[in-house]
Amino acid sequence: MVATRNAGRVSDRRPAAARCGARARVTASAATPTRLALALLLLTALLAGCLGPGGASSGVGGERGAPALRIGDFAGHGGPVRRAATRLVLQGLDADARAQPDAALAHYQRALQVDPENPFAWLALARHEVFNNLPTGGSARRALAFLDKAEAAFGGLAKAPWRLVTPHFEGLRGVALLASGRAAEARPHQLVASRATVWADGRLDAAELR
Amino acid sequence: MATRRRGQRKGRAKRRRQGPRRFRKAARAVAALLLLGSVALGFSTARYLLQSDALVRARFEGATFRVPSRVLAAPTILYPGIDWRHIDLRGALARLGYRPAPSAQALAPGRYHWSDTKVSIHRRAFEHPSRAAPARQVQLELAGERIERLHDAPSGRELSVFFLEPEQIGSYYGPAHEQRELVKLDEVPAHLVEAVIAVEDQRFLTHAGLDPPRILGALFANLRSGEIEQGGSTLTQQLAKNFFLTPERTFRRKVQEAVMALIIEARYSKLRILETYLNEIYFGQRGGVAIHGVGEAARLHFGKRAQDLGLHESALLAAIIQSPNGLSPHRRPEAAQQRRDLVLQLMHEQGRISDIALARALSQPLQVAKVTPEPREARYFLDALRRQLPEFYDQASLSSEGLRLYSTLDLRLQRLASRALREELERLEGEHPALRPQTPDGEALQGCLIALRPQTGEVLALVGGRDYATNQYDHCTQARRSTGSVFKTFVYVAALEPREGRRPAAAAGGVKTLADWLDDSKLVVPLRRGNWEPRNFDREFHGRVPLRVALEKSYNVATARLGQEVGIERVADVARRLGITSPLPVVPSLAIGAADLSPLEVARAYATLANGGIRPRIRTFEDIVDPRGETVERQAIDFERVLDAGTAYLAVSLLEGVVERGTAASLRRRGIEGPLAGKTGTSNDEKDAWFVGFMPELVVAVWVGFDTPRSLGLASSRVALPIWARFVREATGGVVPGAFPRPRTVIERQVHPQTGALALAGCPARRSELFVIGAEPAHTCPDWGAAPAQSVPPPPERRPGLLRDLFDDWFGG
Repeated sequence: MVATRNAGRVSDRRPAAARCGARARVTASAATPTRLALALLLLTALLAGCLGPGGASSGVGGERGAPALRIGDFAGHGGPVRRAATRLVLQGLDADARAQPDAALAHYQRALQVDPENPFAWLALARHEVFNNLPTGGSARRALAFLDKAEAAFGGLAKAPWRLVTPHFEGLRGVALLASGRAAEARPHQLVASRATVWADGRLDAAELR
Repeated sequence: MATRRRGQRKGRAKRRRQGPRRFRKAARAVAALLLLGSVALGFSTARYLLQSDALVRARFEGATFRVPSRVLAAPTILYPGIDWRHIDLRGALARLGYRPAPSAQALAPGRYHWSDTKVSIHRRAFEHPSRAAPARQVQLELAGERIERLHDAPSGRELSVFFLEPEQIGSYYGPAHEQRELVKLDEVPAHLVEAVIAVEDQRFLTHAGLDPPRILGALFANLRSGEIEQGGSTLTQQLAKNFFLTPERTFRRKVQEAVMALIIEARYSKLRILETYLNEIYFGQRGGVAIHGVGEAARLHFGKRAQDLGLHESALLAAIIQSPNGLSPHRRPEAAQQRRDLVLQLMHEQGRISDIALARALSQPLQVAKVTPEPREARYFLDALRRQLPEFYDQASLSSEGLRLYSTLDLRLQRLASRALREELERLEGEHPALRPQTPDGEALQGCLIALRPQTGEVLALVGGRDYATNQYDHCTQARRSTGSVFKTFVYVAALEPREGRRPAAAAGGVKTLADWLDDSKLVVPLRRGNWEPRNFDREFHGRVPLRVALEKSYNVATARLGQEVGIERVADVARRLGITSPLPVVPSLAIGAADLSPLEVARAYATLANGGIRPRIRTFEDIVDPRGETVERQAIDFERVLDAGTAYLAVSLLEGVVERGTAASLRRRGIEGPLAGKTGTSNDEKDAWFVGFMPELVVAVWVGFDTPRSLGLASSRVALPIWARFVREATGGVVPGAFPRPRTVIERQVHPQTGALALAGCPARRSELFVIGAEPAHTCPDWGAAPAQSVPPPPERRPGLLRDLFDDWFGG
């Protein structure tokens, strides 16, 4: 393969003219089996979570039916810098929901230029990495690092919405661990996520985070 | 006599007979020569034509133009609360070619109106595969120097954030040093094409490359005046001249030009020729760069895209083709306007524009954007960016493929950094004559400054040296210099990092805690070739010193001993994990800085600490886009956790102490408030001076020294630190916002200052100290042998919520 997409980077040693047109084709053909494999892994993990000890049927006190996190709820919080950045995160989630991953990524990056410690930007970036890049050869290590960063940034808030954020962290961490071949580590995270409303259907749409 | 006459008659008769024969012979020879000549001429003409044809085809059917790749800065971002003066909004608008308008009503794209309380900006559309933005008019409400609110002007809807298009910071030019922005004919307004044809070649659409009536007209005019004052060249001839020939005015060159023009016309359509002409034609200079083509000229003169030009602007562009520098609207506005009006008249006479259009265009004043030369401050950055690209983006491809590189550079910070370094080095030389060049062509004092955003790894400013024109060596990314005490931080990180099993009473802790004390008495380390005896800067030993003080005062002996205790291999490992990539000598003196490192890698290692132990990938660009608008390269945010957040925070706290009480205490006197951490570094014999400091959202490293190392005779706090302080003060306005976020794994405890023991009731003295949970002191004051269980509160819940609930379910917690 002449072109590789790695770490969000398109590398192709052919002349520019040949390079551009080929990129989409190469990415698409390489992505399909990986995407399928990841989808299967995700499904398996979620099923395992649902059927495991204290599975979805038993529920976790108060979480079933609890309102899911909406970043929009926090768009008016914080100072002007935080608000501006959170608004950019929302625009990124809109782009993700419209299947425009490049535009979404651009919005998250801009949000971080405005407010590098914005926890929602890191969380959205982690979600983006897990759902858009992992299936096409993205890095689980990077996804986990984004989650770490998001967690640290939430930790810096005076009142972090932990009860609302936790299912996202757990679900995303579970998928990322699974994708990096750490199934045993992934399982408890998947279990927790599977009990939460936002993860109960095994999906985490950008719209759900929005 | 008779015989002689007869002889003469015979001779004449013979000559008469021989005459025609000779003539025929000569005629045959001439004919043969002519034939031969004709054949030779035919051959050489054919050869010449074939060569010319090949030349034309090679140019037209290959890459017709070599378009330098452009590098763009990160965009200026506006949002409520930001200080417009601080971000240099006026400067950014001027550099982007925005022109002030007398009122906010009906602002055209690229115009703005500024009043005391409001600024209206009509941003131009800008293209980007994922960040494209349409033209948009916004209104900023000002409260003094702050932007109070942002509104979408037509709808009045409040906006939370708004971007200006990114500024160009440079290009990768080829040897010709030309810049052009290619346009397609169908993108160009019709009046621009009409204006060019009207004034340069009104029969362009009907002739075959040459325009005989025009040639004759020019010939008569030139004969009348006795000098060459008119040219009869068609657009095609001009194109042929520009592409293939020299500008000399000789008959031979004129013939070549005509032949080329005929070939071009025979081979290619009028539309193709016209489009090529519009992209090729020379439009003057921007500094040392030649501007070619209407696309680039529209940007240069009007700050807008060619497709957005008005009739009067198109006429002006067509007007200055004749003499781009002599008719420059910037230098000779009156001459340019006269010529513009002439073009409009010609267009009208030739029936290309109506009476109304003529009157309206003539009434327009000559409004041109301010020409701002490409910033010179970013040259080192451009080189660094190129080095970071994959190898197939070599100079040749960068100077010809017309790529757009969206960089991470913050042009405002870059300008501040450049100025701070230059002026502070001059000040140093002024105050310390020994630092000046020793001879007229002697070596000048050098320095560099690099600023990173620790969370994302973006290079925000990079000044690799004092003056790019005289020294292109980038001291920030290419040089490896002795780090001195800047390296000591890694020893303390290695000592604080949790190391299981090391301390049974505090398995989560490292070799040391911040409450511990170090020994700064004489140290002798036996080596194969004799002993190593480190000494302090003040040539004294300080006995037993608190760990914090040892780093704050940068004691060599205490740190060297700590390095021995921790293990040099472990220190090197920590340095590598944090981001050091240069080879590290595993020797005892490594602990006090016996390592040659680049300021970039040192900045990266400190960025890892500022980022809570997560090492960022250094990024100089976000993406690269080809002329068709496809992203061909992307450098996404990437990082990796290499140190636990707790240890990173303890290290930050230590380095805050260096600024508050230690060798960098003068920073506060230099007018910077807010959270700051950093470390000074002076190498052996004061040959290198460093200061690496950071705040929550910015890491800045400064190095000063000579290329051929010689003593500066000054400590880094008097050399590198003032540069750092000036840059940060100007970049932040003197008030650093935010705070270093403390992770939940770090707690504050009261300890006895002299022993570091956990202070309980009855302890005679106490002070607060930070610990990673589980690494609190095992002994107490008063001494209970070990800390009573109830005196150490249980660690707070890491993340209350589902995980906690689930563990409780499982483990009956």
